[in-house]
Amino acid sequence: MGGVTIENFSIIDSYLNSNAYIFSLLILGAKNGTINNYLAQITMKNMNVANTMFRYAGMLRLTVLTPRFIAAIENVHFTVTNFRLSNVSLEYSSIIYADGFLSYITDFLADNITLNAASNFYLSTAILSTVFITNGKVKNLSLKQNSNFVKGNLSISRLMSLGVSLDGSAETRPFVICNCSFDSTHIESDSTLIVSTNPMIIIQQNTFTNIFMVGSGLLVLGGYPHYLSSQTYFNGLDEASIYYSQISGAFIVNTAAEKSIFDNYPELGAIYRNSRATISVYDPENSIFFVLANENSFAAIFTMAVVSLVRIDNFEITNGTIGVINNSFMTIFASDGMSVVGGAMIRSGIFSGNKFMSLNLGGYAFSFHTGTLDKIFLDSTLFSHTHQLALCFINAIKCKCKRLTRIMLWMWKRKKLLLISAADL
Amino acid sequence: MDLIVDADLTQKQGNSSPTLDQAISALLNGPRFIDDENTITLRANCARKNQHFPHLARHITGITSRSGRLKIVFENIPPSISDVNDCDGLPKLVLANDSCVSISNLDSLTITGLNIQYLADTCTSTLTNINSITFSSFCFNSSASSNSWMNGATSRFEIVNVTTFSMVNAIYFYDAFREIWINETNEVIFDRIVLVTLASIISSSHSAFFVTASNDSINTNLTITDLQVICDPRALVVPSVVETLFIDQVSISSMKVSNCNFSAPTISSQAIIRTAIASDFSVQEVFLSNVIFGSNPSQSIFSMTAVLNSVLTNFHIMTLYSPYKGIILLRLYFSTIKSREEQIREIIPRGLGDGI
Repeated sequence: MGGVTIENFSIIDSYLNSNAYIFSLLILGAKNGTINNYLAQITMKNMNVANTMFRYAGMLRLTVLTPRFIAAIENVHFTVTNFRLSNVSLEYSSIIYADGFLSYITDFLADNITLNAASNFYLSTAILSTVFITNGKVKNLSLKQNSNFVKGNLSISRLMSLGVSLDGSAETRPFVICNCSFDSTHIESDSTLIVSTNPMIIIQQNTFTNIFMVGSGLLVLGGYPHYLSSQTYFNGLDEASIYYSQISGAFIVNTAAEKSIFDNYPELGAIYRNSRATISVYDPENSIFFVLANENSFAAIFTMAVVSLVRIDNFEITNGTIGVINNSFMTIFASDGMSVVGGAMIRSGIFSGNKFMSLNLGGYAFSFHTGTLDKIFLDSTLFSHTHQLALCFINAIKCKCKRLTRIMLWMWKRKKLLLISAADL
Repeated sequence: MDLIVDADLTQKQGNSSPTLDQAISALLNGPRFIDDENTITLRANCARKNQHFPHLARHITGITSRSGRLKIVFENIPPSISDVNDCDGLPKLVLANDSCVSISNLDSLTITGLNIQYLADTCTSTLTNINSITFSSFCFNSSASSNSWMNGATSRFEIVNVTTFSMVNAIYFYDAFREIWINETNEVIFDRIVLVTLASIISSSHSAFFVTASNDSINTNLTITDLQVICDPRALVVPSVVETLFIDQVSISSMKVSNCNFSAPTISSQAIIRTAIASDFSVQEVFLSNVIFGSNPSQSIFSMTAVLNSVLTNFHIMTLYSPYKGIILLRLYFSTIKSREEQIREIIPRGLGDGI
């Protein structure tokens, strides 16, 4: 066990340009299985960045040198607690860039932050990485020109070589945003507040208020690029032997990976297990991989040229489902035909316990285009004082299963409540 | 034996000598000290006067292994050596090509209140096999006096096989031509060192202090307190102040760098503090203010390679300006490989190079 601890750090009135970083940590990639490596902790506490400009630069860069395979376990855990950012602007920069590390950012305050020109608060693009962001307050945030607050978006081809511990089990890379508030946020020009392609996504108990969006996204989730393909192979511990997977069909939970992640973070483990349990109530066979938006509050949102407020795409993975449960959407105005929750290419969906109040937008509460829809649960939905909004639009080539119950409407002003079309219903 | 150096004298009188080299020579019988206890006090009138070690008796040793003590002290030391002008009031100990120092096999060596001019480039000054070495209230100037260093010149002041090596309250004028090289020493202590980065600083592999343990059986701990880097106002290369390799623990408490322009071009990777292969590294109370970086993307304040545990606390950074090429405050090359041998084989060649 080794690690790095950084405490009580402040940087103010500074300017960093052209590959300048406050911290750069480069780890040598494991050669032949993470079992031969120890678990390292990088801990940052009480960080303060104020009145500082980053341009083609960043605060923290964590990268893996020559990654050789997709590891079952991330051997380095990076934690930031009590992080304060104020009056900070970025261009072509990221505050935290972390590829191949478990990142846990908690107890943070970001006030008056401008992310411009492909900038990010958190970014991971080259190695699918675990992300936990909890207990944060974000105020007066401006995202412009393809910028994102949190972006865990694998954008390069996956490695063909796999760690042996992955054989037959799920790649475990949770992405959790929990108990955060985003107030007074301006999002424009292809920017997005939160983006994730992780296989387990939890957006839970967050509040999104006073948000103005133009041609951008709030939550863009899904698109997990599966590690297994016809060309992938497993790399034996002796480095010389390789073999191809015999996996056919279902994956199982990788208990060793989950233990490695959550042993140090029991509170996050509870959130993770509860989320899987919530999905399992509806769809016990498909709770290995999931996208869950749960108990969030969205209020005072104005959008222009936005297709969906919460967008979930490309999550047709075996043993995977999406869930939008117990969320509150209130006082939302869209100048165009926006859907509240929408997307494409899902296999299974749970939409339960959501409330839509004082919405004025010409779209659907739930809108999906997909191929085969195995299961859809639409349950306990409350509409109150909505204008133009319809409940659900499903366009599927094949729709196997549906269950609609307990839909309550007040002040309904839409002609069609529900529109489901499929070639094979 | 207690001796006096009195600059007003023209020749030796009793236990007083006009110069340091004469006083030291009087303590010796051949290369060995006559007595175990040896103290040389430089009178106040020695201030600003050049002093040397004996030209001919270059190697000085104790009577038996690690026995005997030598203390050289200036009697009119300012209360604190904190300003470069304080150095002018001290006697100059000139370690030049004909007066390198070579001392071994003592219990202790103490040098207090001297302005050491380390100018040698054809001989190496060495202090070896000594229990305790203390330099205090002194200045150390290793800046180049000629260009001969470019032709294979010797560049090190060597401290080897010492139990405790201490440098306390000093001003170190540094231009990267020469370094203090400390090897196989158990405890290394730098307390209240002001490092003056000179305008003539070059881009080289010579650190102000290089601490290593080439013998695996030696555990080395480095403790630094109150380190301050001050700079010539012109654009400089980032000074390599401390570099360590294969030592166990590095502890730094209070480090200040202010009003420095490190934007001079360089082709080498430069770091103020660089540590490779260590068990523990800790630094607390770091102040950086009004510092400019640029021109080289491999510059950093701290660079650590394969350090098992690092703790960095209380960093205060104000007006850091890096307008051209990137500065990295803390650069870490890290490995979770369990095998130390494999770490050395895999990481060191990468981490110490410029290629990453």
